[in-house]
Amino acid sequence: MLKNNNKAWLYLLPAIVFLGVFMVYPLFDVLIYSFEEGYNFTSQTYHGIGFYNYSYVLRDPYFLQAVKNTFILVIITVPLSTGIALLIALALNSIKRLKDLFHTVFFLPYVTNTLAVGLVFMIMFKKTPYSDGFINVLIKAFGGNAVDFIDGPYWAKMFVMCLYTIWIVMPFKILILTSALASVDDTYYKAAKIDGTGRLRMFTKITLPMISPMLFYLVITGFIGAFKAYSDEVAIFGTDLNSAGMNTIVGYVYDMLYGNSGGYPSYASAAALILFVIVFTITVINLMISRKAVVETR
Amino acid sequence: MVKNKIMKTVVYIFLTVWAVIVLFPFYWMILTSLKDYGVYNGEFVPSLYTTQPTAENYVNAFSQVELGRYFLNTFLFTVLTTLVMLVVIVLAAFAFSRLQFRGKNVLFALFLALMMIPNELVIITNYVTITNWDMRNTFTGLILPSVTSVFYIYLLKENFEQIPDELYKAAKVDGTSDLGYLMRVMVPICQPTIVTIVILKVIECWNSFVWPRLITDDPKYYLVSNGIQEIRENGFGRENIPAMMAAVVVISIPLIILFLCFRKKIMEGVSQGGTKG
Amino acid sequence: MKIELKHVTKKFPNRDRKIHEFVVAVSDMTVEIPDGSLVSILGPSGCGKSTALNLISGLEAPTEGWIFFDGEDVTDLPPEKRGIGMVFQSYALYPHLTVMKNIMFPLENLKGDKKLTRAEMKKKVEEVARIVQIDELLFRKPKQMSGGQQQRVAIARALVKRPRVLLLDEPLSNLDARLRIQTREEIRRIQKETGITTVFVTHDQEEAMSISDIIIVMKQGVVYQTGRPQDVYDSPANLFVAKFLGTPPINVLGGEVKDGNLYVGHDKVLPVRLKDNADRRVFVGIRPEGLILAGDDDQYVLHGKVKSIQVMGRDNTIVANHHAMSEGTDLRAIVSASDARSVGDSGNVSFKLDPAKVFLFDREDETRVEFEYTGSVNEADEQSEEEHVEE
Repeated sequence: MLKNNNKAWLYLLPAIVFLGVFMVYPLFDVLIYSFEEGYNFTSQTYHGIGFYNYSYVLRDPYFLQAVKNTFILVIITVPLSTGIALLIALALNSIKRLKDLFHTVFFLPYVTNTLAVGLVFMIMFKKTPYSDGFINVLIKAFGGNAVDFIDGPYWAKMFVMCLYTIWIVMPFKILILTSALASVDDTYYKAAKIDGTGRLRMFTKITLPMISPMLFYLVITGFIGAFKAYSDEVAIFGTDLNSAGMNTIVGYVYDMLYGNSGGYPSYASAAALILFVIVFTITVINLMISRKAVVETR
Repeated sequence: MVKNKIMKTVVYIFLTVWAVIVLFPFYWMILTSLKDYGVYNGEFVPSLYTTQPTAENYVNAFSQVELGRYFLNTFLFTVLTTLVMLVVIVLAAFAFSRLQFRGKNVLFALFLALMMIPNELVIITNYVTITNWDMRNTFTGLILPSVTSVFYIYLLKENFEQIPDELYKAAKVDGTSDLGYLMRVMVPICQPTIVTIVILKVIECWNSFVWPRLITDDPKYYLVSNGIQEIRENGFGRENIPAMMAAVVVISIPLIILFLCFRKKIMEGVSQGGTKG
Repeated sequence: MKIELKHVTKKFPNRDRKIHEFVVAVSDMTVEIPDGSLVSILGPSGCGKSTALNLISGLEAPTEGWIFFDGEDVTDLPPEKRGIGMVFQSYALYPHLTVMKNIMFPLENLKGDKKLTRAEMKKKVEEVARIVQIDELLFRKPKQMSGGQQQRVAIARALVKRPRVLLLDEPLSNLDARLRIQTREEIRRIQKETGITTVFVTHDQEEAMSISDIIIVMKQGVVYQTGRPQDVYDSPANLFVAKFLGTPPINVLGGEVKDGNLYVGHDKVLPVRLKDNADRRVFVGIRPEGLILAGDDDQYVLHGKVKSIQVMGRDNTIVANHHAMSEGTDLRAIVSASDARSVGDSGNVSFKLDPAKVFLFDREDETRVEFEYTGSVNEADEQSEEEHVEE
């Protein structure tokens, strides 16, 4: 305020240094890596520049499996979790008694360690020679056949994966939607009631448009989050996701970087950039749709 | 009226069903952790309750695997990361909100642009950087990449800017230095926001898995998340599920207690600035 | 302590970056504030009065010019080295600290041999709290106090270091009307008691007139007039100052000096002679108390048409139209209640003018045009005596 203050740079120095080293530099570096062919981690040499890393990654069956898994996960979990969260938020908003209790309980998964609870899901769904596991007991009680959800068929594994993902992402969505619903001005409803508007009409013509910005926010962050799925999968299927056939794109990146396939930062970079392009494209499409939808409701 | 009552009942049933889905895993892990190893393995059809709870699994969790060490590591990691981050972001937010300097707006725009960079993109180079610096299996290596958060700088800057200009002038007239004003006036006034940031960061640290997994392969430096993974793959002879569940319970408890104490604060904070999923 | 500003100018860069011109907040300001006096800087909002205060405090550095405290050049001295205390419009109390801690805050910044022990600090706080009469509120937080109490705390905080100068920036504008009058008397009392040279910034002319030794009237960064409140009121240097001081405000009409008389419209209102003896068109400013109900035999009168009479208790205001006034403006005359009764709610009214309450201003630059009253001296004396009785 007093004068042009060069001391300001001193205050900013730590932030600039950390961001520079761990965010800005890597951004350029990852691009360079992705084009360096045959990079060797130990000798830090490479023998060419080109698109080989990309073509390798795109032909790698593990990567294609990971892409397939990720897309299925995204397509199932984002609409489902957002929809259920909206229903729960609506239900929460319509009650008075026990509202706080429900609200608190529903938020619990947010503050739990993903890896820890994933382990619980695993033992609930796993079928071993000694025990069918809790879920299979339920299935049998309703006359079904026991399935091993952890080491069994693809659809079963995918089911657990989606279920756990939804379980994990719900608290955030419920929280956001509940506060969005609560912030809709009561007078709109009063006015609509005087006009004799029905419940469904009130929902589609007032509630939905009013919370649509938040809804789209959730869809967009939901897409981004689901595309970056990894920890939840490790929690359920263990670190060797490739052999479980349940790897995700991010999982592939990490495996390439370190882990069982061991030390190929070039492939990892190429895969990460492909992921970034996918996420970016989908986010842009989302934003375009949301802009249209939000304008229409005005 | 009758229709309304049915509606209400349906709503409550629906909410209760979801509450059960949320709570059941917690119940199951506590239940399993209390079952005797032999009893658990003897149950082909797992029972929904136990008549003879045992604390033996908890003893095993701390004695057979290094749960205590994982705990201590995570605690240290969380405290150090949060502290260093607080210093970094408070200083940066102060510069952006209170000081005038050339290039401020451009720099702030650049900072905001960084918010769009996904962690997955930069983690590769960071892994290489930390490896090259010989910082694998060290706390420094664990902490360094996560001590800045553009989002928290933004959040705090917005908050700092709410403090009226006149307070700054008053402090200047009294001969308070910039740093003195920051520490004695701004930080105390913005304490609620800072607490929110601390809580969110603590949750993030306690649950962090990917970076520690990349940067540590020596169990001496494992955090709880990596510990769980280690226990699952190598601990307790792989099959001692009750002991694993005991470890899981122990790991889950600190955050749940934190949550129950600061319920309002955490939920407010998350709706303001948290994202997950 | 005597404060001098010599040719002080302050320019700010335009807020809109694309406009490269500077905004001149204070322009070539030269004033002298005598030791131990209470001086008000008065002007409409945006006139640069707060900037002037910030320049004195050192919160802003002047673009040009010098500032002296007791002859010592303090132009480049930071605020904390100038020995000032400052009170802000919003009080600027630290919301997280108690009253005690708030007042102690400036003391905690003292370093070196000036450093005080806790006990000394406490003693000083209690001392100053007694002066502003808040000694019972020391352990409250600002939020738990009324506006007036917060104001006292702010003053106490400004005084605790025993400053040589006390600066007050619109300190009363956040208070309600009754409290404002009470607090301004309080400020006057504290100032007299401590003898601290005080600069008071306000947009409220009544406030400034009632407590100041000297007022400085500013507009658009320029000092229009400096002087004792009564002097400025009785002898405004220009149309702006005349209009800005006084409630109800001065009546301004277009007029003309011709053949030794002042005309307003068709009305011949006053026998006058200008210094240069030339005839010219002027603005005529007449204070509301300078309009006196005329008798039947008066030659020099201003005719008006009564619109309404505003009852204010002791005095009443006659609101009237004059044919020389533009649409929407009214003539206002303050007369005693009994005189007002003799005037009907409507109909015609005629006033004679108290020459001491009439000012002429140049049509172009709006500066004062001195004139000599050439009518009977007795009449004028009589009128002004009457005036004094009324006051």
